[in-house]
Amino acid sequence: METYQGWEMPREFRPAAEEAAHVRSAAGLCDVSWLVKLDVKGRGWTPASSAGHTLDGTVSRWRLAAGHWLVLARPEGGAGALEGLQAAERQLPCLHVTDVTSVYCALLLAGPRSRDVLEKLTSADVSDSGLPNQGAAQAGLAHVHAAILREDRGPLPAYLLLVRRDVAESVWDAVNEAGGEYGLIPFGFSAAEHLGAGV
Amino acid sequence: MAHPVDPSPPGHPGGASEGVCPITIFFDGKPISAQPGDTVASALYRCGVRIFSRSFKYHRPRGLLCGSGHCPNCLMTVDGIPNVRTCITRVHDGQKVRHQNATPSLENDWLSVSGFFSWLMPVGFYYKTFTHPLVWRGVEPLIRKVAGLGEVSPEPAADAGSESHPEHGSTGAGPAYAHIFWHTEVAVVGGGPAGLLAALQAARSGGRVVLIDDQPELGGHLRFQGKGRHSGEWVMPDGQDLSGLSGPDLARKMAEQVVKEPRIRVLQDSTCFGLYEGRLLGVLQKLAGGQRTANGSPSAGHSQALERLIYLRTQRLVVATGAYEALPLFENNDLPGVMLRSAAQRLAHLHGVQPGKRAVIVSEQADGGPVAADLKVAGVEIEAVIPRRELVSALGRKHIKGIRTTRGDLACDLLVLEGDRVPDAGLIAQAGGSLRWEEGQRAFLPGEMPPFVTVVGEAAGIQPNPEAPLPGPCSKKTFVCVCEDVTVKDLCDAVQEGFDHIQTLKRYSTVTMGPCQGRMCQLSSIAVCARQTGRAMEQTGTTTSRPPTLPISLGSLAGPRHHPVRRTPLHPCHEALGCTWMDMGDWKRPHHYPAPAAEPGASGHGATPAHTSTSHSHHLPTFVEAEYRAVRERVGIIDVSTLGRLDVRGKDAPKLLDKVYTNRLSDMKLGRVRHAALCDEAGILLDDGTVSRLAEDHYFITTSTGNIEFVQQWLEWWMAGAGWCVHVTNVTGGLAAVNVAGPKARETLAGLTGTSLETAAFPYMNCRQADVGGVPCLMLRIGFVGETGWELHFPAEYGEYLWDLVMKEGQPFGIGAFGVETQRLLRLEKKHVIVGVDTDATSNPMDADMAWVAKLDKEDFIGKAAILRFQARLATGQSERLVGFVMEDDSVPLDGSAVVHGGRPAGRVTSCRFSPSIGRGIGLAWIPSALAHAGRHFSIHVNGQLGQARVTFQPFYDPEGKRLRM
Repeated sequence: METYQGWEMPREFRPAAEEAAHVRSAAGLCDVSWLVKLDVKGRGWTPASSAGHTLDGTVSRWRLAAGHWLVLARPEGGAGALEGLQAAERQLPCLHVTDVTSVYCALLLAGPRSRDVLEKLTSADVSDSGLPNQGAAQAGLAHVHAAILREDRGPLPAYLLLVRRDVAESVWDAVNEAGGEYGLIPFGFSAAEHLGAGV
Repeated sequence: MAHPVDPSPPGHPGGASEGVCPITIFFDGKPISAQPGDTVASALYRCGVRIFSRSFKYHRPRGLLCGSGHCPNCLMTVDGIPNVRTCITRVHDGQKVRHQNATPSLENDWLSVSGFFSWLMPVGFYYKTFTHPLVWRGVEPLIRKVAGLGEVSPEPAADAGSESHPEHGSTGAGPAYAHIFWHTEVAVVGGGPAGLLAALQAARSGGRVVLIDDQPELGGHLRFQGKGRHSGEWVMPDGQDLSGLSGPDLARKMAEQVVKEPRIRVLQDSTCFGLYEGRLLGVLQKLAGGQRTANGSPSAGHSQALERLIYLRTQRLVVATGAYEALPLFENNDLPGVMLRSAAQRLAHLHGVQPGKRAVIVSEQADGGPVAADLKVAGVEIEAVIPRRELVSALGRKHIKGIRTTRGDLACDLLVLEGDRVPDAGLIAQAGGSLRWEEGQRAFLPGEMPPFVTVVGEAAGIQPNPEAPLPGPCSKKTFVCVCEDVTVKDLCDAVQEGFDHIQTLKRYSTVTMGPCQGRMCQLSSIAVCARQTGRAMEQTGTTTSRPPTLPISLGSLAGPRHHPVRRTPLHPCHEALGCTWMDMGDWKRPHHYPAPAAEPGASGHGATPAHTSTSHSHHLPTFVEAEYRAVRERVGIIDVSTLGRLDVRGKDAPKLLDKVYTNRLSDMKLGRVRHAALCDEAGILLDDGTVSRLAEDHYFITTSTGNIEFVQQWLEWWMAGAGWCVHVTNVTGGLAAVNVAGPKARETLAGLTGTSLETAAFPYMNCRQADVGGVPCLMLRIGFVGETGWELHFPAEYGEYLWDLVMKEGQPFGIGAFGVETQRLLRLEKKHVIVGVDTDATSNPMDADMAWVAKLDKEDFIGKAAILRFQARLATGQSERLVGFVMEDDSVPLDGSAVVHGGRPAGRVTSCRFSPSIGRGIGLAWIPSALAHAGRHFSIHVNGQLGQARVTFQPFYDPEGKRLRM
């Protein structure tokens, strides 16, 4: 365990290079709860309207429903993202931004077999057509509510699974159990950086 | 994307592959050699087993009949799983097979004497006999013992796991059943030639296809045809002409093309058992057989699950389920040795097993058709070929010894029948398609189909069935339904008794209701019904097909054992203190903590209120007493992170909350907290909690544990369509929460925060945003347990840190953690009603003595009209009321004890505990209004005796609430 992005996180469960190679060939699960998460609700706001905030790869925006967005940011981009949104909040008549960083745990499920693992846990259509790269879905996952965000690492399929913190341990266990037959392993932040961190 | 195909064992046909180790299975404990590619039934048949089961009711011997998983005759217990269709279950080394529903053995079943008493069991036996509950109670155990199918093991998963997966250990570790969810553009059900062609065509058109087949290998009936040229033109979608090949070669070539096609995902050993709303197919895949190698070890990388339930959503459905043979009607048609044509062909071609030595073939073709040639090749002597109209009965007791025809008797040990071909239309009916009777083909065929359904192959149309006479109405040994032992006579009697509609006939006689779900008997039962009622087949109609169309295991429906568990951010702190856990919904909560060896309070920390008594401590568990004293005398801390928390924002938030809560919340000043309750339109209490106003357009709401999702949905429901600017966000998971309460709570927290906690600066029912130990907190000063206290809500990731900090800071004051049990006692002493525990789905605020939560002078709110009616009813004394009570003696009734009045039950106790503060049992109870007067006595049933209780409407502890406001 080491401090990473201001959080105490596992660096590696086995040598990071080995973890990264395994994830590239099978599947892996990494805790990325250190991501800043902002819940944006309200009409009239679109990513383009948050002018002044640089899209520099540290922030991503996911449309969960009409008038409902989730903004994810690496901690270095989190403050900027929040500032930009708060500026928009002041300008628009009914826009509300809530910091939900503590509310949700974020798990990164990556690897060529990641979809097979996911199909055991959710009834949502996670095929390429049902959930293309950069697509978002809200669905049941291991019997709890989750936001499933597809964020491929280059050619490597990858999904961010956002679940409430109080059920995260249970979901972690369920994903590991479901992934057993596909060779899923847990991996640390070091291997995640190898794979391309994303946001 | 290419999909892996479940591996099949080395294909037969005709026997073992060279160099492959023989397989040993155990039948009733006896070792039996099997060959790779064998099914359990074929292996047993090769070894001379002819009786595979005993019938449901009369225990008649039953042998292999269909050989394709469509009848109940081969059901056995395999690897601990009952009712397995052994004719389509592949063998693996060490497999354990047991007979079922026979004592002591299939050959000699003592229970077959029940056949002599068949006259005692006419159609509608249950309805006619068990007309009184006592009769049923007396006879049921015997019936359960004598009649039925296999027995469910109390530990099916472990049993199955340990038997079929010895390499996984005897504990049966790992999930026995798995679930998976797939989506596809085209689902093709049926792996026969029509299904294979349809799958290839759909894939070539660019669609993603899932092909489902219940057999271990693709090819359908082609697989067990002879080596001769198969008729018809067979041109593949890619132009390849396969015409002229034999059936097995054609099947192999087509299957190869399907397997090579990357857009087709093939599911073998998989039964599509139903079509549900939303184009959802239920598919059960056997993994123990499908994913084992020939020597029985599981393939690398596969699940340990025995079966996998696949939820398959499809845009288009191609029904290629083909047709099956139904059992023709003649006397003793259920004897072992009576076999449908396809079963004989499967045994001969797929497994190299000789079905018999001397056969009579019932066929409309004079030479017996292809099956005659197949049997000759297998070395079976053909005694005769007769048309069906000449067949009268089968002869024999435990096995066929001959047949009686209209022209005399013939000796044989095998009777091969060309049964009526019946299109497998279950999925068609479930899809909403119609079936119409085609007189020319003598079958019910698909009519109008929903646009997303296509029917191909024999499911869409068959070769005409021959017309054959039906046996007379007195035929007692002509079985229509071999699952439920329903005879022609039973059906005729039922029609005679008035059950002359096919649907009522089905329910009364149970025909078509057994494990085969009508495959063997639907057509015959319709024919008998039509004849007896004088109606045409078209008029008689069919029974309704419902999923599951074939038996599936309960374990597969239940799925993996995983169940979500919710843990608070403080979970590790409680574990470190050695708490005893309790489940509260999905949450894990500390029930209590170990009692300290010595009482910290005894060392002189803090004050001991004069009215707090410990003289009746024998009524309280030590741990509760210790926790109770900590709170009442010093300071206690409890994890309340399980409370639901909602963040409500927007300029219309006050409007929304005024609408849904019974209190008025729009007039709250900033920094104030109010207790609030939710009711539905009928005035029923749904939830309660606190509402804090953080800004003009910003509220913080707490809900009861486990109710957060409901309350959030309730708020969103009532604001939908209103056009209001208000947003509700569930922040429960993001916040840890503790309640620090007791006379020393202020001193404990004062050392951690710069915010003044003095009453003048921070009065009761107020909230402040504060820094506590460097952690940003929302502090609510509320009367959770009847003492001065603060509820702290703060980011979950600081949970352990702040808990430890408060514990450290409170140590000089004798701080103690308390669990749910003590919390309930403390709250009960304040007479706090717990919604959902002290109330139920009929409780309203008026009857529950919570009238103060409903502001009836408010313009409107959800449930106001109903609550006004309840208020008016209260005056009439016609309702039950929730009241507090104090026991007049030393007894402490259990929760749920009966209130007795006039010798009759008149209410119930919802909560009761021993109160150290007044030294008696106290509680809440629903009692008739007439008794609900302060000081009035009523009786409670306690340990077989009546205890006296006195009604009170005052809190039991600190009735004036002074301690809350100190």
